[in-house]
Amino acid sequence: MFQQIILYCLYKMEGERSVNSPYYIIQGKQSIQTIQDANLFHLNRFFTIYKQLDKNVYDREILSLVEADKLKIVGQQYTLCNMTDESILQLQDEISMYHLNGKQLAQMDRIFFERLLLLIQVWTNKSVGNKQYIPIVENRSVEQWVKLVYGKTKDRVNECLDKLYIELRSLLVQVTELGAALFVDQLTGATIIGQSKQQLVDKYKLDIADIELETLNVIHYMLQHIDVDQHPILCLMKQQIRDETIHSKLTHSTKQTYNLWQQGYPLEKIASIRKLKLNTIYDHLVEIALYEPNFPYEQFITLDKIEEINGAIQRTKTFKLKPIKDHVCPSITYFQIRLAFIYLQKKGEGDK
Amino acid sequence: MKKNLQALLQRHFSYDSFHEGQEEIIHDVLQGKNVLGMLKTGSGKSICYQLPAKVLPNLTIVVSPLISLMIDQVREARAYGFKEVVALHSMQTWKERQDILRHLHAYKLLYISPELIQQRTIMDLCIRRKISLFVIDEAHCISQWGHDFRPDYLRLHAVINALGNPPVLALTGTATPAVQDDIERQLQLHHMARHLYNIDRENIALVLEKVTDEQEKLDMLVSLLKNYHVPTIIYFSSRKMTEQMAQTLQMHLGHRSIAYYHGGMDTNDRLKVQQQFMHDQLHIICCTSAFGMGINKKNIRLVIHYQMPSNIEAFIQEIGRAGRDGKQSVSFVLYKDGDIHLPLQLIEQDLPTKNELLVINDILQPFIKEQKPLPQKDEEVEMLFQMKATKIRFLYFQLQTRGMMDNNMIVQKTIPPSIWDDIEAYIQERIQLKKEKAFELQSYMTYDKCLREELYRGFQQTIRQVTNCCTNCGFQLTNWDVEQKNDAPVQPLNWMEQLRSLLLVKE
Repeated sequence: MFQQIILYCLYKMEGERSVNSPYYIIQGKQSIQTIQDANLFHLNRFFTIYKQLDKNVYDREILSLVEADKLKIVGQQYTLCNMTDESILQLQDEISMYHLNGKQLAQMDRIFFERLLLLIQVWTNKSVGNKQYIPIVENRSVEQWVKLVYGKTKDRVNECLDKLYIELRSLLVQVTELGAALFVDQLTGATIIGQSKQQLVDKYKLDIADIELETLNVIHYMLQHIDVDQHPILCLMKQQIRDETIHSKLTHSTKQTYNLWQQGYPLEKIASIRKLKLNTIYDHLVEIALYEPNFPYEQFITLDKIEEINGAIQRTKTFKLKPIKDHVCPSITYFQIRLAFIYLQKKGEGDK
Repeated sequence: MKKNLQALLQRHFSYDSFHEGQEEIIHDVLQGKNVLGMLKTGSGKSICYQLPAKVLPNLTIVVSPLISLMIDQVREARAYGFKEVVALHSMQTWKERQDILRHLHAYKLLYISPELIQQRTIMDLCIRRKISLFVIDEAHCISQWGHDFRPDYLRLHAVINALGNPPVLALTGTATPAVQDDIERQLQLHHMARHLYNIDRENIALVLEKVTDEQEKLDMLVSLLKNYHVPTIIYFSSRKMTEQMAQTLQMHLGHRSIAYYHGGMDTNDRLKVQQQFMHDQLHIICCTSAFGMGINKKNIRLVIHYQMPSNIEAFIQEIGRAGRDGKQSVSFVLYKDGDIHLPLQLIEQDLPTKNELLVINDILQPFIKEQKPLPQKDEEVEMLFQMKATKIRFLYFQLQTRGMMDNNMIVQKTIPPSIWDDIEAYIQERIQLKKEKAFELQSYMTYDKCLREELYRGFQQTIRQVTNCCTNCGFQLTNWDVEQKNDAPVQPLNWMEQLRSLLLVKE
């Protein structure tokens, strides 16, 4: 799974970016460049799917692609080799089976899984009357949430467990056998402690990255298919996390800029208040445009200029800033070009 | 008083009675005496300060040598319902630590490292919070490590002083009379009330099996494990070896569940392996000495040493993890001539070599010339010197005690060769001492009379007579009446069945 995702990212960015770009997307680097790349190359679903990804592990995978004659690296550039139409189709087919949606679910997925893990441990231990055990998740906010839920449910844990079983089962039958088994193996109950990732590596003879991604794949499937009627417990969990995280998508500094901007300050003024360069504020605005569904593009660029940029993209067949800048009227700034990218991108998605 | 303490024990920890020594130590602690306590491993040393912490008005500080140990003890105390417990250590973020310090008034028991307690801000807060009791857990570390790489252990007397001289409790599981004296001397407390209990474990039979080569060692290990299906720990000195052996054993013992454990693993994975072992989900653990401290599994029946530890104290600690429930258990040593080379090699690697001293001297030069402060954090130290941080910490301390260094600044224009010679001589002396300790353990492993007497000779006058004593007194595994768990292969469930049974859903 890991290798396919890397290969797919490389395929989408071929000739445009370096061989390390997929790493930053998968790992979820909080830089404007990466956020925008994920957007531009339609790789948002892989954004932040493996935060703990070790660069060495990534490099090893790249090396194995090179050794398998699938990839050639020359300086900053790379090219894919032996990619027939058939193999591309196959890759796309494979990728389309994944349920990953990193951009939307990053953060939420981890919180969801940790809460579920601890909740199951707490409920099952209560059910068998065991008071002394060591929490499997060490995270204060997760503990606090579980405590709250436990307080409301402690008199009917058996009923809750029965319901949870039905809910989880109905979702797990929809994913691969491997995914379901990996998921269940990691759960901790009253008498069974979940398997560690390393133990799963040994048990299933998979790489750690595949274990991580296969597990995440199941969690993402759940989060996208939880239904209010069929899965009331899980739905409640999901809804609560959504409410908690909706504002946390922006990077910290951007959030501050966003607040000032919403109060109506002009960009130059925001720059001077925040003692930042105007260009940095532009970066923040580009990031805000990515997440803000009602971004007022007209304040910064006219529609016919966007069209002009669109024309340049078609002619140069690239999303690189420099060549496009060379192909449009000199008064159009880099900031405007980047906003235009997002506008066109979102418009493209809306048209679909 | 006696009745009183028992009632407290029952109320706070749900135990009916004290283990040997606990009550006497607690009694003196609550009287405000300075106490040095030696209790055998597994006899519940932590109760000796947890119970006082619960009833004394202010904060109890416990100086603890290892982060993992602190974390385990906090977790365990909380599991027993003692919630006002917290640990402060270097793995926490600055924010987490601030959070704890801001709420210091809410805690009754604080675990901390000897390094952190000496930080000005933390110290000030503790002074303001008022200290009821100052505890040094694993107090033999003062003598064992203080002189090498954890010099902060030797400065604890100043901490105690600054805190207004609260009563002190030093606890250990293994301290020879020389070490006991050293503890008192270093803490600058005279006439501590000593509560020294016998540390020989009557329910651990000592088996020594000599082999001639590695293959025979492995064969013997496999056949032992095939015949005895009991909770087992196997100790190794190298991390890599734990991983390899876990794999090898799994091949030989298909249906028994085996895992490895060492300090280089991810914390989460370590926690899971520990807990699986606690729940008898794992039967055999191949581990380094990192496994065990703070692990309170009662029914470990067999502790095997496949490689040799570096001294008798470590060996006693490790076998002490067996049979905490009092039932007959076995320490099984696989020994081959020449096994001592590994610990000797490790001892050499602990302190800087002559060549490394030269390198260090070169690296120090610009810092001396430009009057720059030297790095303190382990990672920075390792970056700069390209050596293990423990070696450099040892060296800093040597330079400090010789007036060359103050805090992290070199205060002399140059470090004269005589100082380097002096430090080198001191290193040689330390290495020699440690090697002698390794040879002491080797002589245990080659001893031909009562092993029990030989093992505890340095710690106590008399040995209690037991029926199942040791190989040399005629004990054989066939004498071992042990209840075996039948870990016949569990039919692997499909995930759905597994989920159902885990969630306790009836069919």
